[in-house]
Amino acid sequence: MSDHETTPIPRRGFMRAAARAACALGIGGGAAYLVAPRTPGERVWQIDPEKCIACGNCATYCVLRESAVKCVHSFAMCGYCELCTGFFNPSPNDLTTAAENVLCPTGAIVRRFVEDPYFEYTIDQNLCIGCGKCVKGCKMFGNGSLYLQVIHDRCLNCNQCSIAAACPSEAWVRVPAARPHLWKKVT
Amino acid sequence: MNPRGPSLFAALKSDARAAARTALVTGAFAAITAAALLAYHVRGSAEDFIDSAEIADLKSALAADPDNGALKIEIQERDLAIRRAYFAKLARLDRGIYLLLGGVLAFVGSLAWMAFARRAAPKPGAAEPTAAAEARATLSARWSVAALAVIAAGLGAAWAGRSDLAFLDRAVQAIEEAKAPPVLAPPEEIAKQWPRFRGPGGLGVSAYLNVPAEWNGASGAGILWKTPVPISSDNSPVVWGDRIFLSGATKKRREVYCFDAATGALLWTGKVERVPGSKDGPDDIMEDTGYAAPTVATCGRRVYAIFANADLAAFDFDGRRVWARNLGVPENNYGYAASLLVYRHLLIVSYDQAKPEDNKSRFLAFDIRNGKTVWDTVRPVAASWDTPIVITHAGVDQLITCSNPFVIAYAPDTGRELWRADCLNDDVAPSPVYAGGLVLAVNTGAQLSAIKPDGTGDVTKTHILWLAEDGLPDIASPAATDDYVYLLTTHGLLTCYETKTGKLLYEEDTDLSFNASPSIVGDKLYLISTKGVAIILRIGPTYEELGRSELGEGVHASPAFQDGRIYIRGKKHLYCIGAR
Repeated sequence: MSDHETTPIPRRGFMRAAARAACALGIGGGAAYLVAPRTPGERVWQIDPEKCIACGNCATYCVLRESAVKCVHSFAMCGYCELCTGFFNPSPNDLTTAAENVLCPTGAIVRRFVEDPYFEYTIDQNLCIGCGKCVKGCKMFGNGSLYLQVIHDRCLNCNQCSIAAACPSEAWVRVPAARPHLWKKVT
Repeated sequence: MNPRGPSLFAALKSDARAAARTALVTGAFAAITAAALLAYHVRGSAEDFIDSAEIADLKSALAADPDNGALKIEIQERDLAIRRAYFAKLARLDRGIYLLLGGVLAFVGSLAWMAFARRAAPKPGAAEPTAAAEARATLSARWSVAALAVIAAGLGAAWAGRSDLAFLDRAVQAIEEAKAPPVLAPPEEIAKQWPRFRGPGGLGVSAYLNVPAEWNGASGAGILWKTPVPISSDNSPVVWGDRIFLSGATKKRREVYCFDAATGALLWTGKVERVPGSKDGPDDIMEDTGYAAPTVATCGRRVYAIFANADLAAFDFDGRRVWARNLGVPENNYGYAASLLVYRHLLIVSYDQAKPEDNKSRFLAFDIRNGKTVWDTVRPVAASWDTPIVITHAGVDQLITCSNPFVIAYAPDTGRELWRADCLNDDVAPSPVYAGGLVLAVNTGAQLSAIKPDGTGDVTKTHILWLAEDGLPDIASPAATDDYVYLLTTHGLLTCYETKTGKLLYEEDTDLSFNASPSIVGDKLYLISTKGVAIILRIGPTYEELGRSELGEGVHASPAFQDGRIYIRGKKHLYCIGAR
């Protein structure tokens, strides 16, 4: 019988290997949990647009460097206004897309001429940081077609959501993962 | 053995110096990357970017000079530069994290390599310890034990020597209080105090008749004490026992003050800071309103304060913060000003804002023990600045609120609407009063309405007993007895009506201006002007001035009346008027 066959695994070596295996399992399991689709019984965070007051906390309180909250647009509700108060500053200098006239700090709203006097507004979600300035502006004079929602491919669904804790209007709610959005409907 | 000697890999594997140098380089790389990431992280927050003061200033300048082409180009260039800097920062942070991760992994790997290269053959059987070595080890062990004993004794002494171990009791007490039924002051006790804006019931009526009618700020006659208030604001004093409460705020600081009624000494200052969701500001507040227009309220065990940024906080009578929360800055063009009131175990907050069709105005009740929302009622009204009152009519408590366009009564324990009357308009700041079985609501944009509070639903056409249109105030609330209603405009016009009929009895121009609401002390009416001149009148069907007293300091707040005393908040000082 050779030495190789008879030499037992040293205790330290065994412990080291076991610890490595446990770490690998932990990392792998955690990653699998994060990427696995949510089952219908689970609940995820969402913003109730009827309660949201667009205070701006969503942009700054998220644990992610770029918030998981972004603006969404209900085209069915939108008035396609030429003077959109979600797009333009109050009393804009001119109705152009120049920086001195627009509200969005990142230029995340794309304004496109449709036909006189209508314009279409689309959110570039790569640029949107969820500050809610457009939401506030839209609510002020418009019908609230711009509103904030949690974007679930970004949200970590923290148990103790730091934005929810800082939300002054208690607009953050848990919703079933199978219906993870609270879309505004045209009534 | 390899006849050609060890391979390059094997040689490197055993080269401890190479491993150490690699560890040094990778460690330094990871440390520099971490430091750079930290520096990037702290350099400019997202808030600075979102609300760039520089861009805001430039836009304001453009609003003043709309045809300035150079300014437009400057805004565009600065805006682009700020956006680029922000997104570049995010991209650098993203890249930096991967660099840091790689650096740390390389560092750990090189440490493992170094450990491998420096491994030594095991040496079974250590050398016999010498007597000297044993003595050194024994001495070292004794010193270690002694040092630990000294540290333990010190910690024990510090613990035992603490004069105030009550914080544990307080923590337990706070938890128990949050669960237990609230301890409420009896109504007869509340009636003796001045627990909210305009005293018990919010009607501006003193429970004491022995209050001074004459004083002079310049000579000090009739002034028991005068003490400076750290931050000037226009909210009114609230008194419970030997404590007087005020609040004060700037754009960045929010404070609650407790003064000793005997000496005027400032007993404590409660700072309202680090409230979740709170922000400084707002920026566009009207100077006359300020950041602490709402008067605090007390239940007799705690004092509650709200500020222009909607920070709501509760302090106990020793100045310890019990709870705090932020409600979100309301849309209010003059700045938030509605004062708080306590009804049983509920802290009532009038949170009117924006326009009626926005459905943003709310009426909220919080549990005084923990600040949790008990009820939250949406109101179909615009922003307002008045403070609700609780009345008891035919044995039923009603919470009366005024706003554009409705006077609405709610059940104070549930927030359910009882009745409403469409009789107000524009900006509503005067608070309602209740006298002679009638709710009296007024503002300049509408009329004075006397409403019978025994209806349900819309009572506009059925329960308004009379209307009047002369001398309508824009800031000061009315004062009323069962016989007379007094209105006081900012420009000093005092108008008196008969409560039962609404008949105009007299109008008198006082030649002064007023922000403070009039108060009733027995058969006397107290008016205090913005320059600190108090007029004391006989309550009756004709104008009969009993005297004037000068404080020597401007006054915007309404006075508080207690046994033999008046507490008046001037623009800079809190005064106690009384006999020595």
